Amino acid sequence: MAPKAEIHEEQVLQAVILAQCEQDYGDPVTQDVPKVLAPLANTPLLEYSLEWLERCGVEEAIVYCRADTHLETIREHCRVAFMTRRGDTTPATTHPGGLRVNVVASEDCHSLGDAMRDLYAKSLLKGDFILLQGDTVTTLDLPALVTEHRESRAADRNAIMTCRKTTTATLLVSASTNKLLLHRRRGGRSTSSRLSVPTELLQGAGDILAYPAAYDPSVTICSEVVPSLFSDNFDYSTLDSLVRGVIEQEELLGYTIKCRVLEGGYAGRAASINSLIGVSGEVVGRQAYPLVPEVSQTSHRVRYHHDAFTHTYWDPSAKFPKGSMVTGVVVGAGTEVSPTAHLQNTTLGDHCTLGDGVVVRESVVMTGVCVKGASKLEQCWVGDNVVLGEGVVVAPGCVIGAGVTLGDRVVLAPGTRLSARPPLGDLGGDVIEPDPAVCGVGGVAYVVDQEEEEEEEEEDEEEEDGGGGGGGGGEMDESEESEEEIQMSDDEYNMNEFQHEVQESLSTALREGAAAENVVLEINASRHAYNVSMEDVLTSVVQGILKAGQERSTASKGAEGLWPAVKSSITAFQGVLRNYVKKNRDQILLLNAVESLVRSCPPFLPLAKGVLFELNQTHEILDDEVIVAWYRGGAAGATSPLPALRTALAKFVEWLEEEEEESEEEED
Amino acid sequence: MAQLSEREFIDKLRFEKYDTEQAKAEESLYLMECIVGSVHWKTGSDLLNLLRNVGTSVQAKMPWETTPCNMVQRVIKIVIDEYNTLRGENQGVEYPSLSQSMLVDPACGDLPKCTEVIPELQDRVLEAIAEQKAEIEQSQELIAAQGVSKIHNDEVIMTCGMCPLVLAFLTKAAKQRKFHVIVAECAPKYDGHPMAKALCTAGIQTTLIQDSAVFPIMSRVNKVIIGTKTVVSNGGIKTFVGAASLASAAKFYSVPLYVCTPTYKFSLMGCEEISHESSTSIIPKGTKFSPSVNTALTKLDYVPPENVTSFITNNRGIAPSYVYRQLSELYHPTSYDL
Repeated sequence: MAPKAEIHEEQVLQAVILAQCEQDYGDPVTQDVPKVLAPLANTPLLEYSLEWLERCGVEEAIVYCRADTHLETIREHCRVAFMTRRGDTTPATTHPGGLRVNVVASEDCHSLGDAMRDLYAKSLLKGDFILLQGDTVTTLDLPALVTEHRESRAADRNAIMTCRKTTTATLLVSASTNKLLLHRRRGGRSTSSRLSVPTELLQGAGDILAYPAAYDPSVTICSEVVPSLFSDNFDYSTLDSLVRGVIEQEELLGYTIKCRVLEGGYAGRAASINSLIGVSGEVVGRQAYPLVPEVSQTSHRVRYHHDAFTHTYWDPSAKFPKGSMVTGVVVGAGTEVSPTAHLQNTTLGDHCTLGDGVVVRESVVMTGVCVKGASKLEQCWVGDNVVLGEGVVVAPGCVIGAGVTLGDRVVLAPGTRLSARPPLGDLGGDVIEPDPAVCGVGGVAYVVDQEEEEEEEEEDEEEEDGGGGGGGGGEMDESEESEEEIQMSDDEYNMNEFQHEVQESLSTALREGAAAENVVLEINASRHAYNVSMEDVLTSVVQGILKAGQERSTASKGAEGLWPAVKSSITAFQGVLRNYVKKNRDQILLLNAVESLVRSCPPFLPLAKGVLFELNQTHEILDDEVIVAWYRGGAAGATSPLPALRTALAKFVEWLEEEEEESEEEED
Repeated sequence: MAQLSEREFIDKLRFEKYDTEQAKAEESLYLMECIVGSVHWKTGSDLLNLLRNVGTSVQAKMPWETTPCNMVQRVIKIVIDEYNTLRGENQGVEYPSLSQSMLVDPACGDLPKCTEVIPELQDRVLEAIAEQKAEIEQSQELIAAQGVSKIHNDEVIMTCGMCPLVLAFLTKAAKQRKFHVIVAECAPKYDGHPMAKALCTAGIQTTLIQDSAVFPIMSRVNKVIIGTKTVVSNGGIKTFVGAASLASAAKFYSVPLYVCTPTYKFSLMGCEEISHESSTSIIPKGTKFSPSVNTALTKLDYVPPENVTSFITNNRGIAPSYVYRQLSELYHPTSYDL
């Protein structure tokens, strides 16, 4: 489906599949297989997207991944899949119709934003394109959406058109033009059930549709403007930040986002292992027709027999009981399942053996697995060539990596992750013996530490509402835990460098009396250079300001006292502070920063009160209530303020409280 | 028309780009014309292998698409016949009679070896394929022409869902006869609605009923006429969902069931090999079922040969028990297992 424009330019429909940018399945799994090639009903995830794109008439698919160990596997897979589709013709010839798959990799792609920037830099995207996540299984009507997008582009310039279905973001959409007015992602820990809507939003639009819970299948139709928007703004790391940015800067740039709620079609994201199991169940239940398990997506041959009434799919060479104890199951080639086994909503790979009385519910089992009698597996992932002994009980949420052996009667706690490889980090050369408490006698398994990996889905990330526009760095970034994990060691180094630079710029500015905007600009530039989060920026700025004051006083060789110097520093930088401190949360961060500074530099202790006084009364950067709450409730965070600091601030806080009461009384 | 490649054809089939079986038959003939007309083969055996590959790949990927496979086997038969005729002319070998070819054991192995290079083979085969094409195009009119002889005045005819052949059959007959038609609406596609509308426009008195009313109304019906997707090798048919109960009701009331089918729908496959399950699209959107609820939506129904009275084809009417003869005329015995 390549609609020929009136101008003799062929519009090639392109699609971008983001293979490795976001949440991974976690360690034992990612060691073995890249997320996009993880099997869903015995077909790699990527195949579903490629197949559906081919059906929709997309001509070029760009698979974007990180350049790590799995890159070659993905490349090889795409090449093989490509060759099977082409039959035996050479890939060099371009066939009319058919899908060309292009694998693009980059070293430091950590987010959607980076991917977009890279693609923009490489000029691979020529026109409108479809943006998909690698773990999506979808049967949405893409050609219709693309046509609609193109029509609306002809009428009015827009940037993106997205499609949403049911649950997890709150949307306000203008009914007549389908323009997206407000987008807020619902966090798992969302604090309030209220949504504050700025009035100007309601003034412009005619009638507004509110979707309190719209599900994002992560399929977006983007115009060619989108990658350039990403490359202009370094802090856009996910699509959400782009969406917010575009909505806020609408008057400036004139781009709009259109949004439609789709009725038909299926879309599911296998973002975490639990959702993988969920989506697998739906695909097995044929909700993603025509992407059905019995047809191999690579060679399109009918590979499994299919029983419609129990939704069971089995390879002709598999032996298993085809009775009512087996429902919603996909059984691979050469697998032997004992007649007394219970299987429910699972996927078994090739050449597995399940012994008597095995109960497997809602799991994904890969190839070559041997499960001896009376074992129970529930909602888990079992990798290749795993051997489980008799009576093993695997609790929900467990992940067993490839090659693990578990002895008899091992009971795993929920959420355990096991890997056959000993954990890295022991460079001493000792061979670590597998712990029998973990894996039973004769077993081989090591527990994989979680560190800061969170199993929550993307939706649970905390979001801060974008502060108003103004300045390049006014927007708050989402803190993506997954990004920070990877950069763990780099982070500290970056932080130090960043703090150092901030310090220098502040000191220089103080000496030369630079304007606030310039200082802000410098700080933002440093921030982008070191990829620092906004919280850290604020902390560093606050500490920097106070330290700059200190420097000045030492520079003047004690002619100026410490306090006056700090005070003048604060006065000089009040504009800067105001720029970064906008909400209560920022104020608390500021207070924490002061506290940590006091802890690290004792000379500041007596000044703390004065600092707070300044910020509160003179410049009104801090609110009374916030200070009181911070003081009373202990600092936000686990530690309580220093006893010394507490006493120092006690009087001040009391005075504040009195003031409050007085003002309340006055109002009465 | 541009050259059609095997891969494109299979993709089109997979993506369900063809509306009718006739379109599939025509395209597959066109594909084979391209193969025959190309320069990739020298001897008859090469050509047979090429054709057989097309058939096997379609069968492996979509076992329910019998029409392209039928066409492949038809062309194989054409090639073998032409080869034998040409060789026979050169060497005076007698053309095997019908009874002799029926006695050939289909399991005797591969396709016959046609290793001589005969230059005229290509042209003769292309001519024969062109004839076959013409036959397919005319099949609809030929079937419709038989309507007058099958339908009498004041009869009540029942049909189910939409079939263009049956529609043509009835509208042609309506020009000379006056009769009533009862159309069952055929959920969940509700094909019966456009069918009833078309019949009305043709001036036929039509009644639209729901599927569950088929059995009670059957006692007042004189004939049942339906179309089909495939005729299987034992004389039964694989067709739309609902036909099995329709046919059983007809059998119960001893109402004759006629199936309008052109010859390209006669298949060598058995009924078990052709199955096609579909999606769960009948569930309204947004309902959430617990995983313990299974939904199934079948696409094809099987009517056993006992329930079918007669097939109305382009040539003549055939009883189910004589389907085997039709098959042996259409296809070469050694190509029964592709």
